[in-house]
Amino acid sequence: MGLLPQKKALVERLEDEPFRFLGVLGREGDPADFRARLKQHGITWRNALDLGEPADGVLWARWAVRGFPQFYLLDASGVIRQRWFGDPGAELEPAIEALLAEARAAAK
Amino acid sequence: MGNRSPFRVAATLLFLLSLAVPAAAQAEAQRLQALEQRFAEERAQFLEFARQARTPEERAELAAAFPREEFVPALEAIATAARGTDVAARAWLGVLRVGALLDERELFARALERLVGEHADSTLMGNLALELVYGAPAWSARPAAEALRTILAKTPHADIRAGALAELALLVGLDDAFGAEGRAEAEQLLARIEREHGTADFIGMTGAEFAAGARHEITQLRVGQVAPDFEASDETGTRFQLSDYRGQVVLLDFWGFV
Repeated sequence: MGLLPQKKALVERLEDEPFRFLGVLGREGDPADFRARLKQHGITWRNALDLGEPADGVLWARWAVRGFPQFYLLDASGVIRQRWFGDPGAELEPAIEALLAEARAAAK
Repeated sequence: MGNRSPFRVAATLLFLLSLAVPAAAQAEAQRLQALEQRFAEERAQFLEFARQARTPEERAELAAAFPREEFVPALEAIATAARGTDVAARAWLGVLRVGALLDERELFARALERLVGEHADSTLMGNLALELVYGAPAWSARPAAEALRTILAKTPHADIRAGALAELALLVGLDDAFGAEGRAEAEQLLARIEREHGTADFIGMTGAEFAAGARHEITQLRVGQVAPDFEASDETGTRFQLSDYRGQVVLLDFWGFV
């Protein structure tokens, strides 16, 4: 939850860009009442719920996620362009900007 | 000479020294703690500004403005004064963090050398191993791998050895900087993990489970590969696929409430 303010700022700033922030919520921490908790924390972006039947933990297992935060940055073609285990710090936004610039150039 | 034999004088001096040394070490430890705290605050603020910086020039300005001189000389002085102790190791860890934050590669390398060179036995090597891969700058991959190899070879602590094994395997296996050689080294390390920790607990799962997951990451989840598609339900119960987002830049965030 430590990176939540940064995530919110990111989503807000890139609202009008071809960018999607997609959470994959796993069992770490307490998943009870996750819908209410997402709302309570002001999390407005989509979260895949890797909890409960029939898929419990499948996504985390398929992506070999052992701990979090774990980020994957995909370009507009779905290719993995960067990955971070832990806080990406100052690397994140320039990396996103570069891919957005790429997407804009390709659209021309 | 009377009752003051040389032996008693020496014993008295040693006794007095033994009182003095812990006091000095305590002062260093306190100074270090204060520095660590201040650094954490400065770092948080720095990262906040860095995230808002739009250009490389702005980021360079920020790095130049960081109060580096408040930390590095003081940390090095503590490391010297407390040489050979965990206080010195923590001080070098502090220097390492400054180097990582400000992209000062030489400073980073120097601190790393001191850490694995003089403190390989310390339990702090576990902390170091984690910091080398968790939230570490991309350019530090090669020195990090070198350090992890040394930790792996030198540490007397089984749990630190296991952690270093895992972290090194993932680092050299996943980072393209290490190429095919790195993937071969990773495979050797994973085979070792399976051999030595197959059914036993290995950083929270069995060695076999870890190796399987790591191999999957190394072969299917590399930078440059198309992300494997998946279908899932979101928080409203709606089914969707990752591939629905083709045409957009996607940041996938595996997380949990804590």
